[in-house]
Amino acid sequence: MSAWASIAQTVGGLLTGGGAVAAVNAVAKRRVTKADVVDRLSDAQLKWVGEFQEDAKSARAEAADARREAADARREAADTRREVADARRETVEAQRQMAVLREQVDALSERLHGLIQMIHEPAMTIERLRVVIPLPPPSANGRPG
Amino acid sequence: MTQPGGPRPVVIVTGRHRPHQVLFVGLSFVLGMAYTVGAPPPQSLAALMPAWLVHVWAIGLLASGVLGGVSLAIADRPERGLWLEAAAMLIGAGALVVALVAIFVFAGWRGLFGAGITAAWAGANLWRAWQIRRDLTAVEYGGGAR
Repeated sequence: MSAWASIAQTVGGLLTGGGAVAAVNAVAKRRVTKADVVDRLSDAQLKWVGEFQEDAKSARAEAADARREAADARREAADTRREVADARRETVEAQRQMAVLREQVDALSERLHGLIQMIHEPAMTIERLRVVIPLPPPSANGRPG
Repeated sequence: MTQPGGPRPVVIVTGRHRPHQVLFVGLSFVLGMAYTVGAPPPQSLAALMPAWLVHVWAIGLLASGVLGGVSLAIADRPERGLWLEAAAMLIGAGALVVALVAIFVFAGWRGLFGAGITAAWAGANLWRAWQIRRDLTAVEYGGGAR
């Protein structure tokens, strides 16, 4: 066999051997599992994944804080509205009581005025005054009502 | 997502079978089967190589065709299919290098056309095997030290 044939035989043998190794590799290689995938990620990719998870966690915490603050603000607004309504009711009640007092004062003022006129009548006597202005009945505890 | 200098992604796309590759795999199978079952071998090979080597050469062509056909048919295990394809390419290249040398030694420059086609075929096989090994190794090792 010539030198060229020997060379061709050697090169062909090497290539065929490499092909046989690749074929064995294809058949014997186990399927990559999730654990292997994690193991084979480069450090940079794992670091990126970790940073992304941290960012997501802090974003979720900030969103929760914002929701809590919004709920507190709504509660405060509701309390304020209740206080305003209470104040409005008290004002209305005070105005009603004031009106009642004013009527009583007007009535007392009129009666007083009438009494003063009767006292100053030339024909008025003490006995007639006692008839016009009777003693009020005694109260339950004996004091004048 | 790729980074400069980072691992190359392996992209498996539909219609990845190139016609030239498929036909040459088929030709390898047909020629290998023919020469294995007894068809007269090429004169160049018969003149240069011992009989046992001619048989080994024919079996190599047949094996390349078989492995190549199986690799093209595997759809659910792309990684295994690519390794089988690389095996087929290397075995085929080995047989083609033997035939290439035999043509040049036997026929000289008169065998330029046949030798040229054989050399291009062997070169394409080696290129494809290198592509597969490079990309599958990059996927396995993630571009970093293991």
